[in-house]
Amino acid sequence: MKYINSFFLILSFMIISFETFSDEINLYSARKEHLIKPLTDLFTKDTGIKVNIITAKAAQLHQRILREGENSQADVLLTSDAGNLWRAHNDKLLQSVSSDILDSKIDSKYKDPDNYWFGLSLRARILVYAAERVDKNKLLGYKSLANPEFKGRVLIRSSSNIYNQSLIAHMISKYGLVEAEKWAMGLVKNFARDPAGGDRDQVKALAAGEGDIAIVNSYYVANMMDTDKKNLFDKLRIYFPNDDFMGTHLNISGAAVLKNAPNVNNAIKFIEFLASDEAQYIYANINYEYPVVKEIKIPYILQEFGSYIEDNILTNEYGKLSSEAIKLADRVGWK
Amino acid sequence: MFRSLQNGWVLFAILFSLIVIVPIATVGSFVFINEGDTWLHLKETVLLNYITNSLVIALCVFIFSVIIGTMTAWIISIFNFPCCKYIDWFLILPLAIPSYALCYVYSETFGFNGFFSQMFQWLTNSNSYLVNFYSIEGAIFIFTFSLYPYVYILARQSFISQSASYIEISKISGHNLVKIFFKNSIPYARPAIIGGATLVIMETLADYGVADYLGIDTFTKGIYRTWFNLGDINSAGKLSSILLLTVFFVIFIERTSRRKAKYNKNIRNDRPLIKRNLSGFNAYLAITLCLIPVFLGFLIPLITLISWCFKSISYWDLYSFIKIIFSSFSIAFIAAILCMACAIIIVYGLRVNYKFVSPFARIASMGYSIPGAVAAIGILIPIIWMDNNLNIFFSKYFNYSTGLLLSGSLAALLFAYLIRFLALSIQSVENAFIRVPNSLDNAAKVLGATNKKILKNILIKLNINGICLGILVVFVDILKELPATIILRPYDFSTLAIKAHELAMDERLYEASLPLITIIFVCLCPLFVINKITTKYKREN
Repeated sequence: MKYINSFFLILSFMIISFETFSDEINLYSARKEHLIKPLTDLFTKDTGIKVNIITAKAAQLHQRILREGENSQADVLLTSDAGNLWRAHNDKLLQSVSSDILDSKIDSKYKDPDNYWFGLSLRARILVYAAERVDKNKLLGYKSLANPEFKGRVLIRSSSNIYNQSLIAHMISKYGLVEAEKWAMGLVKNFARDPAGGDRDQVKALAAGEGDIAIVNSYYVANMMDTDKKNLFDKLRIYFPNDDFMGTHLNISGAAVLKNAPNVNNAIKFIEFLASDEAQYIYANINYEYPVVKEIKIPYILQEFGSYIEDNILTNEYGKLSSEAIKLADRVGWK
Repeated sequence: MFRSLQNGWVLFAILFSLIVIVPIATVGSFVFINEGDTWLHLKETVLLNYITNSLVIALCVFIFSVIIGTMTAWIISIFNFPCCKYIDWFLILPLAIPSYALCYVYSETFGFNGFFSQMFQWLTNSNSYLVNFYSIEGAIFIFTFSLYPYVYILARQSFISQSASYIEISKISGHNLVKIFFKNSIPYARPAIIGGATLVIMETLADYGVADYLGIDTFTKGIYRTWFNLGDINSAGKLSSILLLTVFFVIFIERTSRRKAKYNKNIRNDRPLIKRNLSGFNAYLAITLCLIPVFLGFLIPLITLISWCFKSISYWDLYSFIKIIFSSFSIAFIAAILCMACAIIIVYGLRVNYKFVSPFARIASMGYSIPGAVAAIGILIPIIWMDNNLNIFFSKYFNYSTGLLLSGSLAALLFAYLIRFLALSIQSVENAFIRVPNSLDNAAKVLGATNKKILKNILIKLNINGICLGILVVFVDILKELPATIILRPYDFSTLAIKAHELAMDERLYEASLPLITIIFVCLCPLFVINKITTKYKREN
């Protein structure tokens, strides 16, 4: 019995030892810890404010914040997709922030009109193609990938992935539900194989000759092509999809202050720090994302990719239409 | 009924079993919510796919792991051949490797520019691939070779405890070894084999990591997708309840098959079986047969991971890595002990009053099959409700805000582990206690021993091996656990599994190898102890 008592004593000690500091912020992050850690370390070094990070998928964090309600300790929500920020705002989890620094740094295209959330970096959903098998002049916008000429040649990951959901949502808002569904149906017919693996796997499959064109996020490709294995991919080329009607699909990774945040001022300071030139440079160079602050120098490999033509649809739309997009994918059999 | 409850053991057994009901009831309550648009949409499009994929995978994994587990267990326990002692131990080792790690290794090495596909292309001088692991077959392969040790361990235990006289009688009756295997050993060990296979099925059905990585639409994946991506908690709840019903059905089958078999009497006083010596070709055959699963489930993945580790070692710094190891290790250990304490009470309650406690214990077993994330949210909802009320209470009467006392701490995580892994502890305690005949309890009672004394001096002492084994199995499983930990952990609390998963999902498999290898080596320690315990047990006999 003595042992059992001491066991419970230790147990309760461990549970209660959860402590709080006054100068800190609690960060709920859908960005992976190893991507955000260099930034938080720098922030702590500069300001002395401790950053507690908890990482999970955006939707899981969302459920958690929703249920924690008024007692939530979360200060800042960080996501790698605009749709999730929109969803958080839609469920009234966020608060509006007024900050001159953020207003001047971040273009209004990349933030919520009422300042509920702010984009911090951009990713483009681009095409990678095998130079030997695809004529560059035949490539147009996303819409053209549903054409019969690409039958059995297109590689893309599962529709469970938020990047694809946002792309479909973008197509719906651009072309309307009916047209978008026709497009998705054509695209599924053109799949080189059942969707499997992540974005990198699509590029690998492309290099292995399983398909001719892969739809992937820019930073994955840049990362792959900038490593010592780049010779494996030297026959692949990059194309930023655009046609007369639609430009390249861009998604943002962004941040927001939560409604019940206990440390609002520190939270704002943190987001302002993320928009600073120093942090923006890290964004661009640690993970090959395009910074939202345009003057920042981007890595050489991204310069090599060339520039994209941005589409005019606001990132806000992705969240609004994401459920619609998933259902559309189910209907057309996009796994 | 109330008289039964006056017995403290029965009461506590029921109470502890009921803990598990909390998330089940939370999730189960969604059944009664009306079908919404999303549910109709799922029914029309993907539901059938989820069901067939999950069932096909579970069924195939069941068949293959039973074949592999039983065959190897039988070879090891009935024959004597060179190195058989080591092979006996090797066969458990795949348990140390999480299914998702196996999945990363095989999809990578058999994928583009992977080691095996390069070798195959070089050998055949072609551009094609040997196997596509991003498929249902791939998932079946991975689950089979990472989970068969569950069957192996339990089957071997049962084979070893079989009496020599049974087999000798069969021999005298003119049966050959094959006939003895099917007519004698298998029926005798059936409860153990089915018990192991049930664990395998539950693990398979609850998996998320493998299905997610390989892109297979299974039931669990559907639940995640509906819940988190479509944002429809009700439909996800409905899906979960169907999954729970399936598992309940599996458990029901296991129970009925056991009841028919009626627990095998322990024959401790009998001579143990004298193993038959194998030499020459037969010995090689036995070694080869036993080593195949070891290679596929352990050696190949381990070697691959180690080679990745060397390539990425500079990514890690020592201090933060030790911190992660410490947090992983301590939480797993505490939770494993907690599970075992509850399991012993429940199983003893079963022994005191089987009829009354049994339905509750069966409910407790269902916890194992609740997919991690669903269990986590099934816990999160009531715990946050409790937190909010605690906070209101304390603010009102003591003017002190408790904040998120439970959900912001390790308490929630421990609770989740308890619910997820109690079934595993119960299984091992039950399998251990079964071998002690009830007559021993009765004799002790006649001599005036209390229930506490019987439990302490007879059951626990006689079965200390089985109990340690149970703790270790849970420990290993918690080290590997992912989804519940991700959702419920407090700030700055990270485990090896989480770290590995994050890196792997970011398609940085090489960097993910160090935490995975650490998990594997940490899991090897308890397996080593398991081996020691069993050898000691054999020697004592």
